[in-house]
Amino acid sequence: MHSVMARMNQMSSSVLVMGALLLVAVAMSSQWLAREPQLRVAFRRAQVVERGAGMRHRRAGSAQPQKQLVVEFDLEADFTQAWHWNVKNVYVSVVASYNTTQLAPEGAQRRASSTVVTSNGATSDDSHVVVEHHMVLWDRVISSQDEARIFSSDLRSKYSPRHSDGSMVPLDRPMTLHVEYMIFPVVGAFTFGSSALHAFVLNAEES
Amino acid sequence: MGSMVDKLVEYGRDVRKSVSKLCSRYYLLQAIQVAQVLATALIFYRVCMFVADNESPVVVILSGSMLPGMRRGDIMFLWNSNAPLRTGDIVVYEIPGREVPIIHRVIRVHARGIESEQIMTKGDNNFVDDAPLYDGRDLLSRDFLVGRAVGSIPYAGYLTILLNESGVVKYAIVGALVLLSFFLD
Repeated sequence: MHSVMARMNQMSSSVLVMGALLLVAVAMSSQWLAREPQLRVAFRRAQVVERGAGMRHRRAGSAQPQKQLVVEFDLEADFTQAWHWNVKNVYVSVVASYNTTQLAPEGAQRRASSTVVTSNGATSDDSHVVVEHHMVLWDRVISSQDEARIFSSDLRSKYSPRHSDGSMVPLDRPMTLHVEYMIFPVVGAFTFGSSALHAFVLNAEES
Repeated sequence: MGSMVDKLVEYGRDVRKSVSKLCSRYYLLQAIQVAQVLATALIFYRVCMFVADNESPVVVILSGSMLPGMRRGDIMFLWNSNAPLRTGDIVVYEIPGREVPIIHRVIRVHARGIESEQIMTKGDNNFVDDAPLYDGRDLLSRDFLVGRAVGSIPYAGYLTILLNESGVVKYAIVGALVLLSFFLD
């Protein structure tokens, strides 16, 4: 009954149960400690620049310089109030969203008889479907409370918004920008959130 | 008829005596307890699979491509839901022909509806997106996704990495357990 084995067994199972309860308590504490961060993004301007061909296109045999869209924007993101003991880091990103239309695949054409105009400016009718595009333009991983405040004007997009075939986004398109975040906890479930949409019409200048 | 029942009862007693001679109740109890633990773990895992609608609801991070968020040895819980994919989601995808599934973040979504969603992913710690990993595909569709990460426990999977990657640790742990069972009983 009181052999070394039985004692070790009891002790290890107690440690495991207590550890699991502690983890659950820490994970649940996020629910009470969570605060909304302050987020705002505003479009400033966009321009098309020529850059050397990317690695992917060089490999494919095309060494032509590529036209890339660079979007500049103002960003305010303050996570200092939202930071608590169960936050390991925060992934914050600026996302551009817009719609385009494309020919509906055969047999899957929309049944709607009237033309539909979406909030992002793309129109669809019987033969066309609306395609939603969401692209991360800029992102950062914030790892400490000291750097949890971003007040930057004139930030430039890190990733050039483009379609899967490498083509640029349409330059005359109504778009929206918004800030998204994902709180990565030490233990527990991820928390997602986003700012209000900032609508604008992309009028890119050629440089 | 009565004599046959008596004979059967007699036979039962003999079997019981011989069994109790062969193995004591203590060992039988231990074997049942071990089986119970294994069955409980299996049932728990199967229930998780069912609830998460996912063949591997728990994965261990093996590389540093998602640093500083995900470290080697962290455990991630995966969930499969019909909710639309969003930028910022962390997904696990599997390309046919590649042995190890990849866990990275969605940075682009193109969608005509949930069924036709196509995504581009990137590791937080990588400089370029995952296009070279897609084996010639431009984007990934939902068919390649194993699940969406919804939560984590740090370092809880490090033992499995040690057991899988280091032969010395594996044999040391198994040897220690065997020795323990011999000497402590």
